[in-house]
Amino acid sequence: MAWYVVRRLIQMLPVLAGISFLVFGLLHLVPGDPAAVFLGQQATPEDITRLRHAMRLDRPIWDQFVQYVWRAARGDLGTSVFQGGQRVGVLIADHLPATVELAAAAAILAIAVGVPVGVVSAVRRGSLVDVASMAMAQLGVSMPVFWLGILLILLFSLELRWLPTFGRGEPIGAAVAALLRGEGRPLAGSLKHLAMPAVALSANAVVLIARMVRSTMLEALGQDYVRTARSKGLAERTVIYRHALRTALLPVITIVGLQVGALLGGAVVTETVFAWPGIGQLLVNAIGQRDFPVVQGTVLAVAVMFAFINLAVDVAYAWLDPRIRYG
Amino acid sequence: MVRAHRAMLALAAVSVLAMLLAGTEGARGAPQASIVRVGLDVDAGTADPRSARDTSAFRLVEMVYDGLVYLNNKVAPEPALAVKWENPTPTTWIFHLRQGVTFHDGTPFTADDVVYTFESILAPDSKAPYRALYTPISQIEKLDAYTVRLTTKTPYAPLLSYLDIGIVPKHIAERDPAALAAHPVGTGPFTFVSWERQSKIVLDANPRYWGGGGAPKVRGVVFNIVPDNTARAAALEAGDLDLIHSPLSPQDLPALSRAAGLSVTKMTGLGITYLNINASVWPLNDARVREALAYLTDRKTIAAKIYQGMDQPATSVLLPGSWAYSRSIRQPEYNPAKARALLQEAGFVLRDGVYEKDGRPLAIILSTHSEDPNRIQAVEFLQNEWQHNGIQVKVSTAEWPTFSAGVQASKHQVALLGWLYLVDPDRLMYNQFLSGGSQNWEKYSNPKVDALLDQGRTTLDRAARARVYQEAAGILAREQPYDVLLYQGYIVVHTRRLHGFVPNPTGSLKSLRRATLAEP
Repeated sequence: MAWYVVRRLIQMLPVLAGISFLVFGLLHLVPGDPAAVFLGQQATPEDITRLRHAMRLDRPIWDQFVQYVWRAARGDLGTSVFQGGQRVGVLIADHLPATVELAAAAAILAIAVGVPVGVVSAVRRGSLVDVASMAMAQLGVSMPVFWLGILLILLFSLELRWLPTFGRGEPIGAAVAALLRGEGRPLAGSLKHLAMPAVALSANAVVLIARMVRSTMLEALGQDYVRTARSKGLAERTVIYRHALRTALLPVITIVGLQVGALLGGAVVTETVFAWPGIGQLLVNAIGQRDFPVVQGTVLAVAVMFAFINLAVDVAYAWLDPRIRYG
Repeated sequence: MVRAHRAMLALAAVSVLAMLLAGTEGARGAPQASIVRVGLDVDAGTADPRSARDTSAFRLVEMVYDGLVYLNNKVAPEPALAVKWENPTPTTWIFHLRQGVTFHDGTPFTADDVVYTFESILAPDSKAPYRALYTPISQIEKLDAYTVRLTTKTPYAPLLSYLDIGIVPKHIAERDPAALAAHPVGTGPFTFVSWERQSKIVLDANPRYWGGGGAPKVRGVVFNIVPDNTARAAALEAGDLDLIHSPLSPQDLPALSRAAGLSVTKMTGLGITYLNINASVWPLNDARVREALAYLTDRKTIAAKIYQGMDQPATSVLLPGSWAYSRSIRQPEYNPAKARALLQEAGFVLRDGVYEKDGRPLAIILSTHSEDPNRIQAVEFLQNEWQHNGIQVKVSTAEWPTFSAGVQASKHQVALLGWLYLVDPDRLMYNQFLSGGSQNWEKYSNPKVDALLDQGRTTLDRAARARVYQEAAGILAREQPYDVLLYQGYIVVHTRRLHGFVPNPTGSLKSLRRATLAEP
């Protein structure tokens, strides 16, 4: 297993190199000159030429790419002209934890709600619970995140005044540390800030997971080994949770893995609506400005995370299904 | 055993919950007394006034820094770090600097800082986006510790309006410019405390501030970055913010105006929204076609229906708040009959509902950028109106970098975009309408206008300048290289607990230094 993980980690390198090349190529293919965008409409062509030179944008593309890869390999992702010359590595380190926190909260929420709803719908197929939850699911999947976000703000912040409208509280790690020292306020603040963004972001994933669990559960409940378990006189709870659910969860793991990746992507909109200072906002702003080093750096960071999630999914497979062995 | 385990778990859960609840005081943390929480749409790119390029960077640097002058709410220069100035000749400006002012780190402010600031903006390796505004300056000299002389190549009338740029401390900027971009040290009413990127910037009152009225009365200002317009408006209504200002979404205004605890101030800002009409391509190279388009442009409906009265229908390239404005200069007003007459005069005939000339249909590409939904609506409205009157119109939208690259290379036909921060008529007219000017993307050329623009730039007498710009604006209103659609409004909405704040059409929030914030 350890060898398998190491091999997968090594395999990541060419993937990341390929992604870097693609992003670099695409950025240079789309029209729009970073120097012109930075200097704005009032700049003279001479100013733009001077800045292009200073930013080395007047060098051949292959030369720029080689320089980029050479520096990135040594951990230097460059600096952002648009962000006052800040190092891209620092910008990513500042923003990534917020996105991971949000995506993780949304993933936990999606699993915690999606799986039970799916199980109940399958076990009580055709009942009111099933119909109602699947109707809600339909609503959840068709409602755009920004719209749901605004509705949540209107209800919980403006009407009920329970939750803050925007921003992030203390980082959850620091807040938990404070709780261990007996101080509950930071964690309460963090969770209140996290609540609406996490709900908005998880809505789609909840639905997908619930529907997936429902159909895999229905399939599992019709299998011979379930009938055997029942005929042995096992309690219905044991049959459902010990026998059927474990098998039913296998395909769900894949969906969860993909959904966590999608959560990272979906975070872009959620972060904008709730002013969550994450990597999605950083990336979108950078694309809008043609801030090449920031776009390249953040895409690379997200790609690394995606690759790790995939690896975790594969490892989880082996753990859940004894028949699967990697070596 | 299992039972004991469960009991322990339950106990732990209850105690965590209790601690969390103990930590909750109402729905949100009570607003801290007299710290003004401002909502901004984007994060500032930098805190260095020389390289500031986005509106948030301007809002930040004008709090922390002072310029030689301050543009008051009439957009007139007032003494700031310069106490007075004189023009011994039309090309020399002597500034007498304020004494006894210190930067936030305690270092005294002197002429060296002024000389350094402008020299570094004009340096060959400068990344200052507004460098072009200062290039007419040929020399900056320190006459003594508190006197500076600026010499311009030719008389440069708008100069004073551009000297509100923050003066940076030479001793820091020279050594470590990157530090200054992240941690500003100025002479202004507020000192920098902290900056969480994409989230918030915290400023404290400067107890040693030199300005009239002395130290700010509020304890500090926090800029919160809330990108979504509607979410920012909701945050103000919910009491999580104390002040927001343009850009706002027109559709959020009615709710804000109705809210009991909020005060809404509307004024004409310093921006325009306009159609840039490429005069070098057929059929727009015929001034009659451009004029006909102006007769088909219903600016009043655009202002009222799309912008909900937030912006005003424009009449010329002169802003209504400007000393150069004249009510009598007017672009063609909506009148389809006159448009049709002009097109016929230009040799176009209507065939199957479309005008054509020599077998070529009158077809126009109308473009804008995709970031602003109101501009897209305006373009679609115009498309409908023009098509209704026999012109084939194709709409093209792209994100800003792509769209603006096209316009700046004059590859457009008719493009809808805007200009901001027009503190002097020269700023909107000189480079934009001068033959071969650096922003003359519409390729307009008229020797008479060229002469007037040069005259306006080099005449220091304001009344004489006003006459010159009015004459030029009259010609432009007829020849229509620009169809100015809207005078952009500037709107500030703040809690009624905030007193003494004076909105400034430049967008500056510097008057928060005189404001007070009552307890909720």
